[in-house]
Amino acid sequence: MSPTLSVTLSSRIAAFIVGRRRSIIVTAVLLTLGLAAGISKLVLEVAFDKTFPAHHPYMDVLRHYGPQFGHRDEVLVALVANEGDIYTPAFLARLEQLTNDLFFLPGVDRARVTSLFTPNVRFTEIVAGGFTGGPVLPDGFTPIPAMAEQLRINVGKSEQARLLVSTDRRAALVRVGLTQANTARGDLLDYRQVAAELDKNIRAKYSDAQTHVHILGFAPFMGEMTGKLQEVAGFFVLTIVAMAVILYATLRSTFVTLIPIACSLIALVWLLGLMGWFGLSITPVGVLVPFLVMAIGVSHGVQIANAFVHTNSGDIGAPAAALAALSRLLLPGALALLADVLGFATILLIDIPLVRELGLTATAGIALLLLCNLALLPCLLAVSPSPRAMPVSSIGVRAAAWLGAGNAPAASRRRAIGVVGAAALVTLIAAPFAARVDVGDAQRGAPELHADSRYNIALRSVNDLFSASIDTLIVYADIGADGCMNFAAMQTIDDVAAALRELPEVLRVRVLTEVAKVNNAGWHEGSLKWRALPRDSTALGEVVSPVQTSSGLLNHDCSVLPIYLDTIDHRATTIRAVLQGIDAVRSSLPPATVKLRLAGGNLAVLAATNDVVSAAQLPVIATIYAIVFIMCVLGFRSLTAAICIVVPLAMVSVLCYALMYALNIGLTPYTLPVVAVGAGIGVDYGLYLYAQYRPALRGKSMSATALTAAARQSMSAIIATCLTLTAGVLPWLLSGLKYQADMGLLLTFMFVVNMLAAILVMPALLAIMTKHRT
Amino acid sequence: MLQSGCVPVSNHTATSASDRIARAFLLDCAMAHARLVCVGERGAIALSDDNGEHWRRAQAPPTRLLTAVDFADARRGWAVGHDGVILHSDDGGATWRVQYRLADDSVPLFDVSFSGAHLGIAVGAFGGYVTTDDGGVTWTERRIAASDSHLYAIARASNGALIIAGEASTLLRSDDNGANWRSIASPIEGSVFGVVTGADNFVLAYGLLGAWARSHDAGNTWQTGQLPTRASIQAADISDPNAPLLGSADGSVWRFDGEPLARDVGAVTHLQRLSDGDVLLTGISGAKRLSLSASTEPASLAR
Repeated sequence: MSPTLSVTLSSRIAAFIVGRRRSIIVTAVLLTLGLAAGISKLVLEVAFDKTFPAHHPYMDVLRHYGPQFGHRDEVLVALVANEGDIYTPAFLARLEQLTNDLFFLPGVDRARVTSLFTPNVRFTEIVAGGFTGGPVLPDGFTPIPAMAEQLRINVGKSEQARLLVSTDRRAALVRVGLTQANTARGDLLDYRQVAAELDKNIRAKYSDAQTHVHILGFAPFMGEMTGKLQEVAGFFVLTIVAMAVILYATLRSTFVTLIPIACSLIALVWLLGLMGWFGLSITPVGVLVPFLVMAIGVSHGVQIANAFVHTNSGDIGAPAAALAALSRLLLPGALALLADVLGFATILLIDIPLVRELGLTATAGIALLLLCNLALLPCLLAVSPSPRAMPVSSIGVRAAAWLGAGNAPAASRRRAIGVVGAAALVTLIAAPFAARVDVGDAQRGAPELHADSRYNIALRSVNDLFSASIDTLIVYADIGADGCMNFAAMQTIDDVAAALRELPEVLRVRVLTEVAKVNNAGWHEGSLKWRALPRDSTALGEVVSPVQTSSGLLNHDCSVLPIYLDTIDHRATTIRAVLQGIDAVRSSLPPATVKLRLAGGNLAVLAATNDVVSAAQLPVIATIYAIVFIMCVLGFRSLTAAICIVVPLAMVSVLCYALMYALNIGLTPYTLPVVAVGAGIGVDYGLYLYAQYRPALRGKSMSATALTAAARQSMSAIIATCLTLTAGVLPWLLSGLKYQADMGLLLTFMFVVNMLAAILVMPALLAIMTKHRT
Repeated sequence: MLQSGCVPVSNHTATSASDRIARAFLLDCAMAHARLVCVGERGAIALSDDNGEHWRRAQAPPTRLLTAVDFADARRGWAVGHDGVILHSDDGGATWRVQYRLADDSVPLFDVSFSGAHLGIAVGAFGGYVTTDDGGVTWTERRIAASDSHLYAIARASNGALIIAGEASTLLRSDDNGANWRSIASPIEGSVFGVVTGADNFVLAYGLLGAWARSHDAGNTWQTGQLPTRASIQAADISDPNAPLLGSADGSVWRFDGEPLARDVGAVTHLQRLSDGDVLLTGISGAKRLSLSASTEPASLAR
């Protein structure tokens, strides 16, 4: 197929489409009505498991051991006195009420409520020849000062109770276990419902002049995530309005402005409708897809609409203008959307279900855009009333002129070398910083939410008040049934715990053997000289038996003992150091008896995620660049074109990495797709612009002035494209979800800087590479 | 005290590796001339040549919890602990080797005392008793009491009498370097966790539920006392006879009259007056220096 043929083919396809505009429009309307009904079936699903890298070995261990220790299903409520300490009658009356309220909350496992007011919180006291004990709550408690004082004394005798009181005695903790099944209805627990109940019946009730509360746990976390997701959805209308304004400024025609927006909305309705009919749901990341579909759809639609407006000046007529616009832009438009599709397709390489779903739905959405933008949109333009004559200078044209870029291929070689040299220099300066971007993230608290989110504030407050931990890695030590009666196994675990405690990244190690040692001293009247593991297996049984499985330190047959490592933070370097430390310990272990299985805790998920992101990074980036390069070579039949388009793209990717380093944003399942998608979308500018230069480069006679005018017109569309894309993601910066804000920031950067690279660097490169031939 | 699953919190902030040893659970200290030598969990032996400001780890074979240490002179020292182990150093605590292990290694040793460089006695659980008269070249195990009560501590009074304290109000005395032992009518009702001796036949025994007893005639007559706490006393220092100190398991340091000198310092396992006037305190979370000011306000940790 010769170049001429492909141009002819474009024209023929364009003629076919515009010729059947009425049937296409009617089909589209019917299709839209049918699919729109499916949207009502869509639900917002906060399936958090999908953010876990499903196939990582850590996740198998987590799934296998996690449920035995109920790590997920706990809610912590900290009641904090605004003034004074907890041992006042007023505060204690509230704490009792809070305990009762939580006890009767739907979804709460009433056997697993722990508070100063529950009988399972006990103290023991050494007396001559043994010890005695009882609940820390004095018998027949009423909120009077004398009883409060007795409670304070009892708490002092109980390690268990002391952990429920903050170190400064201003706050008390209530721990609540959740049932796996909702007790009322027998189906799976709805975390969002629990979160709503906590907000309504606990937070609201106990936040006033006297006290405030901090609520932690998976359920309140999901609650806040859901709330933020719904806020995000609210930005959608704002986004469309912003796009309309940009389009109008470029096109200066109300009708032509509405067409690209309508076409993208229709594609979106098809996508959501299909998802609804197929029973899929909107996920915390999937909520971004409508924004991306709108941004990409409208920004490409503006290209054809812009060409239509420029052609449709005077007496040529709308159908002919639509045909001309489509003929010229069918190839670059199809290539550009294909690049976007493939950009999203590459993120399927990231082995995390949620990210893959994002890739899949976005890919489907853009495939639908191909239909809407390249078939429906020209048909609608063809039937539109003719707009008034093209304004002399839209803002895009003016901006292009201001940037002084339009005349590039015809411009002086000196200027071109200067531009390319400057771009290369900037890239070289940025490269060392770009290389320092690490996987993972450094924020203290849940990485999905901002540092100042209610949940993360609660997390830090509880951490500070109760010396609790935020970042924990759990190593599951498998020691066989009744292993805690086996001295060798217990001693090995104690050795492992001691070795891990030596790691500078580890703040604290919690393990059954520590409690067993304390209990051995307890069995010997509290003599600290006995604070060691007894060798005898009967004695071991005695020191372990007071420990309940609800402590999370052992399972029912004492075959698995989790070792909890509380770490200083969850930066990738910290996680790596701890894992290396564990490896070193593990390799020095005698074989048999004790098997250390990795891993549990939030660090396990983060470590697995980091692994997946690290493994995917190179394939994702190599694939997207290979695809874009091959597409340019095939589409334009020119190696020069491919180099001129891909080199600026690569430069921008380097700058994006440097920006991530500067802003302390790590590579995560959310930011890595941005690099791929940013490149896939960033290439569009180059494709459209190169299509304008192509006739001149083919040696078709074209005066320098004509070329500059054509290029400026195309650039005006490119700037409008960029502004539209940016409008689609800029509202994300306001999102309460940190990953979305980060993605919005990086995408904005990629869209804007890729645009600048396309209109400045690409033509300059083209000038350098082609001049010597002519 | 028995625990149902809550792991004791011992926050230790990131610190240099050499100082980490000072954060270990330490049970006892002794002076090798001017050097502090403390022993504790996982065979930890910590050395300090600057009164506890800086610490380093001694070279020692891997053992489990070491419970006591004693030096005969500036160079020769012995440490004992769980698994019936006796360690010996002849270079002022810098390096240690295993000198003896009890025939039954499930018996922990709890204290060791040397009188000169040759005569030494170690005591332990279930009436464990082992002696040497050749500086530890040979050790001999024997029984000194009918019961198998745990023997927690041994000390030599200034007149040469040896006194052993133990479980269930056990107090034993020997006036012939340990050849013969006889029971003393104990002034303390519960277990006696420790006994320390000073000049002029001063003896102090202490133990369960805040009870203590002192004697000015090497244990013939006693005067009892009670701290205002139900926690047991597991540490004492009487090197300044005018200001003896008691340390309890609820994290307080006391005067005899029940006046608290420090609070919330963690369970106290050992107290030792330092040459600079401060006090070294060991416990669950390591060794700390304590400044006891002249005021009656409870002192705070020096660091």
